[in-house]
Amino acid sequence: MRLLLVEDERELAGLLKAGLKAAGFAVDHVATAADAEAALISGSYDIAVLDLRLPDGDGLDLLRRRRAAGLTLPVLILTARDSLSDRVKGLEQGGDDYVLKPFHIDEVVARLRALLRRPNQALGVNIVIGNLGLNTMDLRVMVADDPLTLSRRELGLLELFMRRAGRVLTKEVIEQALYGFNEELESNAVEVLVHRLRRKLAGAGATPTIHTLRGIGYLMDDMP
Amino acid sequence: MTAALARWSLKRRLAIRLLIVLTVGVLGPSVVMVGAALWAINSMDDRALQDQAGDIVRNLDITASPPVLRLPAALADSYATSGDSYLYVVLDAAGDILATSSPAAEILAHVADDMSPGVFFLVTRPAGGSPWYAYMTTAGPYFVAVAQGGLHDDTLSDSVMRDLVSFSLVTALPLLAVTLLVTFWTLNRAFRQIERVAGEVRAITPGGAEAHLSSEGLPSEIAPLVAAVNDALFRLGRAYEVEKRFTTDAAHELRTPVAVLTARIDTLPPGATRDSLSADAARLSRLVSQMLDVARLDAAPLPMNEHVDLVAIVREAVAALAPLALRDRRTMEMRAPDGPVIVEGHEGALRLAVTNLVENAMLHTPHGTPIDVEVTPQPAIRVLDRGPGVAEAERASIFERFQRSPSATSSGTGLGLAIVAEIAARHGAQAAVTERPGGGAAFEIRWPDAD
Repeated sequence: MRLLLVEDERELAGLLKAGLKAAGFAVDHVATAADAEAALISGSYDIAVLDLRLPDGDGLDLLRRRRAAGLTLPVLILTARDSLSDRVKGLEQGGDDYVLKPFHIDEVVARLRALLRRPNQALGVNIVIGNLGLNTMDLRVMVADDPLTLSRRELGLLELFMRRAGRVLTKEVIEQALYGFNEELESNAVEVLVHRLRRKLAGAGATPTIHTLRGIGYLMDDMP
Repeated sequence: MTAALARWSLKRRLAIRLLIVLTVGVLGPSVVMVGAALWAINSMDDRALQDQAGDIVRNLDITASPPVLRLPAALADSYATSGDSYLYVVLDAAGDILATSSPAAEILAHVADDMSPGVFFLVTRPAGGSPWYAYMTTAGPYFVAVAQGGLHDDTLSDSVMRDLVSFSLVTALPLLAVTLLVTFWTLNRAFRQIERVAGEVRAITPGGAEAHLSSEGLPSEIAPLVAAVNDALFRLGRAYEVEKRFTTDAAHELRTPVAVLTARIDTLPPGATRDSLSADAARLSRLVSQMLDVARLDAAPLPMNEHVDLVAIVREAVAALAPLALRDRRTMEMRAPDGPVIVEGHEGALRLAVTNLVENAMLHTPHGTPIDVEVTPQPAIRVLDRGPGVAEAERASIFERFQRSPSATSSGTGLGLAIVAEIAARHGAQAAVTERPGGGAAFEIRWPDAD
């Protein structure tokens, strides 16, 4: 995987580059918006990590410009947390992911892998959490080495959980993802579905668990 | 000008002053006209009497002795049928009557005795009623006195007066009404523009650095005020921009070394040292973030014009922190009404306040204990824990900056709750902590009752 790292802080860039290389990425590093734009135009990257604050311009402006020109590769944004502005929220809604500074390299790697699993990638990918695996192309589910049969809706829910493992899915997010706009929905439809999926995973001996946070949502992780 | 007058509205001032000006301007000339008319009536009377006396003198033959009065038939008839409205008398130097229009003229002769020729005088009627108006002149050695009465008396001047006054009112009242209408219409149009500008001013939010009032359609007297306000807005906006740039720069400058530190710690081999350095870096990072939050809150007032659904933003904030709670083997639960709970305010600030309350609970209660969050229609936000609680003596000071509970662990910054209190206050709400029934602390942001 070829990765473009756009970060002007020399030390931070060096540490990030080392961490990303260790995680298996082929990293090219640039330190200015102009170099970043030239590199993105050359178009040979699978993913980019973009610092928003660059010496010769704003990373978000650069991204908007390249997106308008047809750039499709996933971009992970590095940003200093600005709790009182809605900028972070804007990024969140924009589809690309963001990581707040300071960050752990593990977190950056995890987010990059999640971005690379996005369905707009032509190739099917295997998502693996603990002993649970899901192939997003043929929708086969494996627990350890045994296949697990799930209904269409259960599969949809499992994919949702595995793509956002370790993060909370609210009931609204699940409803929007799994049910049609006009579909009549029992108020406890999501709870019933989660309960069925949880029972099937446990029955098959899967190590990841689905936690219920009452009134908040659900979360899948693989903590011992 | 007295203070009371100064507080009167422009319309009231204009109405009263216009009333005075129009009253003086319309009634004043009327009074002059009445005076002039009365004078004209009097002089008419005088001329009539002089003419009357002239007629007598012309027809008096003074060559004869005693003189002979030969009035034309028509004139003699007029005197005879006037019912004593017209009188004449001819006297000699001794005051003896030589000729008279009627016996009533003897009174005229009697009064004329005391008068000098060429004067006008009044003669009282013996039967009462308005007096005769009389005049005496000479004809050679003789005296001719004439009088008339009952025609050009006071009733005439009264009615002239009445006509003129009512004429003045008939013209003055519509003039007054039209003047006031035109004045108010003009003022109302001008005030509508001022009201529009006032609306623009009301719509300015604290963050609205580029706010600018339009002076279009404003009376030129008001335009300098609007221009001055625009200048002030521009200066405030520039100061706000400078503050904002400073906190943004500070955020970058402070976070970058912490980011480098965190990334460098990640390159260390796993173990107790890495874990404790990692915890130190996390605390430093939290301190930097909260110092920046405080600086940003102090630097400028927040725009408070968003309709914020408390249920949605609390769920969002809690969902973001839930993975950390689960890592600490906690359970988390949120209770909220099915529908939205809307408040007016700043969404980012409210989300930060909720985040700080939940982080506070996670920092100060043992791992494995539950944290519950409630939103009520009050509106209120509550974060409930099962930790050691907050001693009564500390419940007020805990919301002050760097005032940490003596029992608090070292991981807190002493800023989180101060930020919560500040954001609550900006929203007209109050932050407080009470004892939770069954043990633990109940932190709350509560809006006042909606009555």
